[in-house]
Amino acid sequence: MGYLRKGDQLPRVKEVVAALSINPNTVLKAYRSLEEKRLIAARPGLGTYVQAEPETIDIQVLNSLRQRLRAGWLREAREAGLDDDGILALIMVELQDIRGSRADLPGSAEGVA
Amino acid sequence: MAGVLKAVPETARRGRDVPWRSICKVAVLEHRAGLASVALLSAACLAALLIKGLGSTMSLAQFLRDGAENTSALSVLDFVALAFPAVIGIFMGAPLVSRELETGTFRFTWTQAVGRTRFARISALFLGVVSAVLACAVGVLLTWYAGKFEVLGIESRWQAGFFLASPIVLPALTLASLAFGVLAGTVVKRTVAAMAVTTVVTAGLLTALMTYLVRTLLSVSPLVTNRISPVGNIVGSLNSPVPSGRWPGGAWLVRSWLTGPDGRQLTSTDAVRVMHQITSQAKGAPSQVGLAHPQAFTFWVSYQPADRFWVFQLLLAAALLGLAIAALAATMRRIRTIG
Amino acid sequence: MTVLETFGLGKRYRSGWALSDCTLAIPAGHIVALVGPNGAGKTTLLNCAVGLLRPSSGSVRVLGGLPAGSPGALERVAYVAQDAPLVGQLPTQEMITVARCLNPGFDVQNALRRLQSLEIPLRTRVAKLSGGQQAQLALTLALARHPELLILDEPIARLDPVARHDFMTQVVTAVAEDGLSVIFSSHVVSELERVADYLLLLSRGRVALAGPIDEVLAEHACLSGPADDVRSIANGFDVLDLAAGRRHARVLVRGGFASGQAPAGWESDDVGLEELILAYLRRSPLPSGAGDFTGGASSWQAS
Repeated sequence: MGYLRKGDQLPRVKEVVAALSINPNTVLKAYRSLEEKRLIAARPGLGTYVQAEPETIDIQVLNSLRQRLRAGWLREAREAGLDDDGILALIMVELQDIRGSRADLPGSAEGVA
Repeated sequence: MAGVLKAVPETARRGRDVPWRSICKVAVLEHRAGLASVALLSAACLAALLIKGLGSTMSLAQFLRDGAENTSALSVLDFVALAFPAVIGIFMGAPLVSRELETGTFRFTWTQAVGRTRFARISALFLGVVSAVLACAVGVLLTWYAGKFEVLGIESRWQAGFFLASPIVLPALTLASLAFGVLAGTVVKRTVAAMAVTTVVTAGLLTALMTYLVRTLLSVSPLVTNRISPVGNIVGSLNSPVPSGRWPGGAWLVRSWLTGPDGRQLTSTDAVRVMHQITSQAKGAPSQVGLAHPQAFTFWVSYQPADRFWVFQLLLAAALLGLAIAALAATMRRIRTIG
Repeated sequence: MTVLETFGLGKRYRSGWALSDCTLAIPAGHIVALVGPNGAGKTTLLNCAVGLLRPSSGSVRVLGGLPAGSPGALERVAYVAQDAPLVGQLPTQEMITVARCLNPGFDVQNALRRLQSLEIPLRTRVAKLSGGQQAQLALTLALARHPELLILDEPIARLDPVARHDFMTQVVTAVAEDGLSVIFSSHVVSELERVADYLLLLSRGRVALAGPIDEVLAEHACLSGPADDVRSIANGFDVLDLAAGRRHARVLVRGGFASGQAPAGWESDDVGLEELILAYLRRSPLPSGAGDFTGGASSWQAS
């Protein structure tokens, strides 16, 4: 989300647990998965630090995607009579289908704040 | 695993290692009110005995003058001394376990490392020691005060009321009452009801001892003699601590009877008639009277000699202690199996 | 290591069997939520685990084989009973003295530090503390024993939301610091998922469900589709709950499939923990042994 930069230290598991009142295993899993993605690294005795920033998508690519969405598919969907909820539902179903047909790929969204 | 399990060294947490002093401390903290009131009551009792006792060295003349009031004071204090075991049993014994069961705090105490049986056993023993010491002090002072009357031949340490309130029997009686109270608490599991049951049982035990059991105990294999003449107040004579002539001092009369010239025992009506004849023929002080026809009638007594007093004391104390131990064992078994 | 193991555990009262035929093996390192309606046997199970009750049948062991209630177990398992029983007329600091006297290895500094941070007054009598403070005190005394297993019986039932949050924060923090395992019972389902990672569900004295929460949830799905096609679902899957209108039906099933492989014409969705628990609790009593779910496509009870 852009709050932590490379080199920043992550809060200790204990602090996260105390602040959010959640299960320590959940925090550990989250930290572990970040470590697997090589986004953070544990330095023994010192703490855990941000190692790399998640791949940022080029801002121009993002803008062009949005423009194509607005001018193309979204306009069609609106003209067909779909409202916001209908549009979102359609997209979710499509994403689910894609996920289902590639079930072996790690993809379940474990959101890490 | 979320973190490293903080290891407490094995030797540091063994429940067996809980020192008994700590358990006693907990017993004091938890039963502070009961202990305080018992301590207060005992102090009042001991003070009363001390004051009364110090203030009354009596001669026979003094006693005849204002002895009645002293005797009733003695009776009251004797009663208080005998109530002591009951008070202990009801107010310290009964609530010991039952309060924890009733309020639910046993769900805390019985899940600590010390364990339920060790905790109960040491708490009970602690209360036992405290009560026994207090009972002994009460017994000592009461015996000392009663001794002033005994010297005059008025009361006797063999009488049930004083026999039970001695420094040997009173502690044993207190322990029996305490143990039974604790047992009642584990059976009834409600404090007030346990106290009620304890009241009934200790009152019953005391009554039985006072009216029947002591007398029965003391009439076991007495000595028999006919070498005593019936002079004055039979009880007083035999119990005078100082032997006079052929009177065994400090002894306890179990039974007395007359036999006629044929050697057969006189019926009570005949015996009364004979005694009346004797005393009506007396001139002068009754203590000078002998038998009218010494060859015709023989006066017999069965008695316990003075030195047997301690034997009987220890016997009774041992029996009561046995009751106490049995009650405690039963209590431990119940505590182990609750749940 | 299993922190709690039962073998055919049953407990009988005059009014009937509070627990029947419970067989569990809960692994260490979890915060276990013991869930079930009132009267399901939660308190009975926990009381058996700490040795306050003796089983009528079967056995209970804790921390890798120690018999429940044995001296070894008492030394390592801390328990806070329902309504946090403490000796009411004692002030807080004397309550600490009691706990210290009865437990060798009791960490007084730990207890005092925690009470200070919670701002619980030391000289006030326990009976005069608020419900939340009493619960925190009971928890403090338990945690200061540095137990390997902490058992809590409905610890937050009578607390207001703030007190509840504070209480559970203490629990999870202690787990993060000391690595102890926790079993807590609750009949309030809504806040479980944040704190617990293992579920143990009791219904009518029997084990209905037992396993790590994420595995349990992954084994279930909510299928939605045409109402007339419900029969095909019923034949293929283990149906737990069904809500059917004239056209549309929603079925909660347990199956060995990954989300997304719904049968034709049906959509599959993840099931929420609360919904899942309610569905199990509404089910009629299971035949004995059916609650184990061992030997199924995925075994939830780690050995």
